[in-house]
Amino acid sequence: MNSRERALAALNHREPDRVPIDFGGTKVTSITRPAYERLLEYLQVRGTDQGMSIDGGEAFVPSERIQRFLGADFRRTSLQAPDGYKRVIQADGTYVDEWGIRRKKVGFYWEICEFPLAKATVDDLERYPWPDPANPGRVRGLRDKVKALRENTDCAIIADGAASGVFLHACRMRGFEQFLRDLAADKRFANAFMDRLVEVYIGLYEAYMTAVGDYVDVVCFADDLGTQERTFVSPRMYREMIKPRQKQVFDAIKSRTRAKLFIHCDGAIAPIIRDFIEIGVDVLDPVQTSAAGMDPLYLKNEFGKDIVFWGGIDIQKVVSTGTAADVETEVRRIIEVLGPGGGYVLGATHNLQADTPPENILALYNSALKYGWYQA
Amino acid sequence: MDKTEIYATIARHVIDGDSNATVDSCLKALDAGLEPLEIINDGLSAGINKVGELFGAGEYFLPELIVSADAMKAGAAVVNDALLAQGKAKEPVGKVVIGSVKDDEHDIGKNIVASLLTAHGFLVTDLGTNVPQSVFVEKAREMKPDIVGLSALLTTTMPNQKSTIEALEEAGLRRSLKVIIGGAPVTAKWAESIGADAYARDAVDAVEKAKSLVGGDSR
Repeated sequence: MNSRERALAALNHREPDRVPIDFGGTKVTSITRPAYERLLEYLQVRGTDQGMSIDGGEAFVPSERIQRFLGADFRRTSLQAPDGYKRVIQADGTYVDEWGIRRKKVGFYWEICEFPLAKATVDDLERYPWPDPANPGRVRGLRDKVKALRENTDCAIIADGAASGVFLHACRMRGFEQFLRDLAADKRFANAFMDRLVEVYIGLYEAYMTAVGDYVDVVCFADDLGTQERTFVSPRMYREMIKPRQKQVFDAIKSRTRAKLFIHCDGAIAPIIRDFIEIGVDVLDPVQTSAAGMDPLYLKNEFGKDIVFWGGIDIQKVVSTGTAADVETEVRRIIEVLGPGGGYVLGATHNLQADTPPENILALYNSALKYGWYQA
Repeated sequence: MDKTEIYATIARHVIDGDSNATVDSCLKALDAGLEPLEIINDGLSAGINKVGELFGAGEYFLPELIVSADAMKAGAAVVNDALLAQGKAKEPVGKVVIGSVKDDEHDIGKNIVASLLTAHGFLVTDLGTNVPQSVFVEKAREMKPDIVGLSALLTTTMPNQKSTIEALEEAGLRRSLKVIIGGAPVTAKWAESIGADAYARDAVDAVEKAKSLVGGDSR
């Protein structure tokens, strides 16, 4: 089996030759710059295997050679920046993205330091300069690029996500605490705000899928709804206010592509996985097993027939802070639990963080290549 | 309305997270000549304690917790003004200095903890995010808090919880205060290994731990 056949078998709930591996297929399943640099140093390939920064940030897609070396079966593509927008670091060290969110570098990360809609009213939403989905720069040349990627590699192709969700992006524009407050105390604003986001998303994904929908195998949408302990909002509130809006976006995506719909949603979200399935989600990433209620055996038994699990190798408590032997044990355990019957793509539960030792990175993917084989 | 009903009404408005109604009902209670301290204890605190229970039981989530803390704080502000006018001020339950540790810009959890602690009568000094070890030391020296709260949302910044505790030790302040740590990747085991006094799983847990560390509950 080549990588694409392997990936498609797993995504269709059939057992391939081995568990497919994702490393660098999306902006949430890649590697941070410091961890990547140390990996290159460890492998003594510094200088020859430069990765590619995702959106100019600190997450990197490894070089083709490293991806191949570690068994990665997926390759990433994404919408491009619109004409007229360039990420410019200003004199104060901050930059503003096309949604108006200002960030500054703190430690290893670009963190939000200004929420553009922090004080907005419903009327302000109408006046706000939202990104223009129809901006031609987003897809210029993209179809040819993805076609070439598809023809020149035997890997499965991922259309990485545009922005970051109905709930999460609202938090990023409004401020987390304030948006959570809106959801409880100012539903009119919260709903109007999310409607506006949905409108932009539908436009973005329509343009995106019109350009590449027939060339991609997976299409991503990220919307973090979980903390370590529980969902941010009650399942009831999710169903009432967020789910119907996610469905609008998903319907728009699905009307333009047959690719599998992948949702990235961190945290303790078991109570709403059935809801995801109902609104057309095919793949759930990252299966954060360190969060409450996210026992992989329970998830596989309860939802494994209806959704593909992606990720599952915990970076919070194993890959970053454990030993290489711990990583190997965990990879083996997760493959045994999530692998049977297909429906599992192996990867880390998020971008490999700056504190991840190179030995653990190699242990992760080498163990997957060692234990991931299905009986013929 | 007798005073039991008045207090129950105040508590209900806190539980519903209705700031305006909480303030109105507190003003009415004051107009009726009720004791400010009793309004706080039997009305507002009763409400916010119930909110904690509902959160613990999985009935309430973060949005409800936030608006209830808002209501509690709004009500308490009105009642505290009345106390001040009488020349009395309510002693805080305890003093807390809180912040996200160096290199950590995440503040949602820390903000909710600060807000809920305030709602429970603690005097909270929030140092914000990406707070250097030296600033925790400086503020601990200045504020003489009972508790220092250290938040970290990243495995890469958890070591800064440890170094902040070490800095407090070096400054000779560690024995005069308690340290509570929290954040998504943080565990009780980590708390123990770095010599923190308590680990808080969530905001409600943080209030419980803070109350027990200062001895007794908020009443």
